[in-house]
Amino acid sequence: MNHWDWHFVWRTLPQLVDALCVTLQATALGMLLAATLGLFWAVARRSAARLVSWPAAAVVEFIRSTPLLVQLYFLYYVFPSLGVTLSAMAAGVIGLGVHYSSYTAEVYRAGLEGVPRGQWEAATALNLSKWDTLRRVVLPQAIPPVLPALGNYLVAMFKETPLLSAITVVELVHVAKDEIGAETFKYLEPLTLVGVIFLVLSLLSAAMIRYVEAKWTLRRIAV
Amino acid sequence: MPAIFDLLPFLLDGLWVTVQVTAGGAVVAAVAALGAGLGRLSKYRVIRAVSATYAEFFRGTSALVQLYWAFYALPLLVGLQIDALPAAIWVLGLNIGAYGSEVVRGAVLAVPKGQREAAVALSLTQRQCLWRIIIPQAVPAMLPPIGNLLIELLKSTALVSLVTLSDLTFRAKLLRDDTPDRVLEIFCLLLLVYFLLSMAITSLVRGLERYLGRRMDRVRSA
Amino acid sequence: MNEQPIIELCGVSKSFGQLRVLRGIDLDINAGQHVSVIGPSGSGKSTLLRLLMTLEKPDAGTVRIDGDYLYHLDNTNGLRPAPPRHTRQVRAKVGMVFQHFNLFPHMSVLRNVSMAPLRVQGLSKQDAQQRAEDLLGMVGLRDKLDSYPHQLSGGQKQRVAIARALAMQPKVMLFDEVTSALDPELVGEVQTVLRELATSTNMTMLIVTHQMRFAQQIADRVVFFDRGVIVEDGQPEVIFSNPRHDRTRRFLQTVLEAT
Repeated sequence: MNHWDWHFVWRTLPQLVDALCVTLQATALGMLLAATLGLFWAVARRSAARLVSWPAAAVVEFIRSTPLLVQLYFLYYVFPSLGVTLSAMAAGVIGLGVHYSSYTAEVYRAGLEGVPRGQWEAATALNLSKWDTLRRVVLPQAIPPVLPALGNYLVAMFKETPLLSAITVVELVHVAKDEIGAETFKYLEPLTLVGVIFLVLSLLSAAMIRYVEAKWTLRRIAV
Repeated sequence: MPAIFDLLPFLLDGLWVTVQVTAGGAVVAAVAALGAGLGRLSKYRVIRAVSATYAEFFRGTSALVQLYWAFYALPLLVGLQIDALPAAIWVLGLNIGAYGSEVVRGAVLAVPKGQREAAVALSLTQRQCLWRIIIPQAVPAMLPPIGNLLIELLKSTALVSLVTLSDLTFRAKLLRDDTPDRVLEIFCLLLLVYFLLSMAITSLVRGLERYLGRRMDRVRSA
Repeated sequence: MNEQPIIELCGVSKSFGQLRVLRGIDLDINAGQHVSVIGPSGSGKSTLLRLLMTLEKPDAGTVRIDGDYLYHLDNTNGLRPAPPRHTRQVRAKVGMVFQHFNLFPHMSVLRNVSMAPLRVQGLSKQDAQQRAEDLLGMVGLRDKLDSYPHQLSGGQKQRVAIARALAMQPKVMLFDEVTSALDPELVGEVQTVLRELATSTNMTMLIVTHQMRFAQQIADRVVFFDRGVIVEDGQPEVIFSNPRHDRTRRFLQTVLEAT
């Protein structure tokens, strides 16, 4: 039987906090990539040219149907054999970003479909270019309503960052299990703490998203 | 390039574990999702609280953390080793079940209130109302999100390779250690196998949707 | 009046938040009476029916069906709240037809009607189906046994709903605006079924409706509701041609002008 050791907790907490910074960094960078790439997929999938829309749809489908862990291995172990060597962190951020772009693409698609056809038609009637129509008319209407949904995927991505430990990124789980745990054979405290950290942060961010969403909805109704 | 397929038999040795964890996890998830989803709509506060806590807990902590915790921390706590395979099935099943409980809850809430009232007017018991009136109408609406969750479950089974289970991903890593120069082939093949498994799940769920399709039309237009 | 009323409401009140929907209603209805309940929207008439069906609980007052308290147990030291089982037993004497039909979309017409007799009353499958077929024949839908609700017109749906409620052989039938959701040309077929039911059986019927002519024709008693109280209660001829109360007169004027 192993008993909970508070001294051990306090001693290892600074290490975990440092690791949390890595986790948050990976989340932020990953989301940046997912948010941009997802928009690209969504717009490409709506393209009238099938040579564009079909491959985009296929790639998104493929990315979403295969495990993130395997994709991370692919980036970290296979890319060097193709002459591209990535640091663990870079592979991790790209993996997270690309994987979650397949989810954000769906979110953007819903947003784009929510913009009435009349908006496109009005822009055409004003002789705006396709690019201007998209950028100045459609996207400003399509994106705000889906921001909460994007926020939810940000939280989901945050919870998948532990997978980066499998490619040696020194984030929370790696520190808890492979550093603290492996050195002291005490897994209970560090792994429990990591669980608590994830729980608290994701509950907080979920609550924040709900709050912001409610505020926006109110404002939109007021308008 | 048939050469790539000489890797396949070794890789597919891991298929059985992947399928076992996916199928077993799906059963656990289904029971947990139904229990917690209906539990959150219970008239008893205690049942509501327990169901909500379960769902928030498993959705709020990461699947890999849960898996490591069950594998490394839990045995220290209870003082006995837990077999990796059942542990993986339970953890991943409960994880997906937490998301599934939202699906169940939403679909049950989406059944019009009048259906419940008609059941009361006909003196059906609450249990009869639930199983004969509410659930049959809620199931068709659940299917598409359930299909997505099953894909999520399949993808999450790759994590069991990190707790020593010899699934597809685990076999791929072994292959990489043996033949590092063929790493591209190995992982392309691995991705392909997962993709085909996902397609299989998708078409299974689509088939089920079609099978219930007539019923869904009815539900929509009633 | 030596006869025991089949429905007795005594001081029944119900509020939704700040809104007092029923304010101390007293109402007795005798077995076999056909009562039209009329009044402006939000006057509490639908709530009255829903209380009798236990879809809403009263805040105060008592309800008796066929002599039994619906929400209370009557023992030596007075009334106390009844357990759900008791309420369920008493309300089995009441059937209800809804504005929006509430048919079960995943069941055939025959299943819709035979399901409750089979599962609640424990009839054999054969008996339950026989009863369902007879009732569906009575509402003119014997040829629709195997159809599903979405294949029926609104009027047909409502006739199935009536058969479904009758299949439980209630002593009291509640009709909550049963023609309000129908296209005008379909109202007649449902009203015909109700009229037949009123003339050929001695079923007690409570009919909430906005169709004044129908309310007058079908009823042997009319109750006028306004703002949660019963303003006037009497024979249809009297209420429709010579109401005693100003509020009744104004209400009838407004609705009759509108139609």
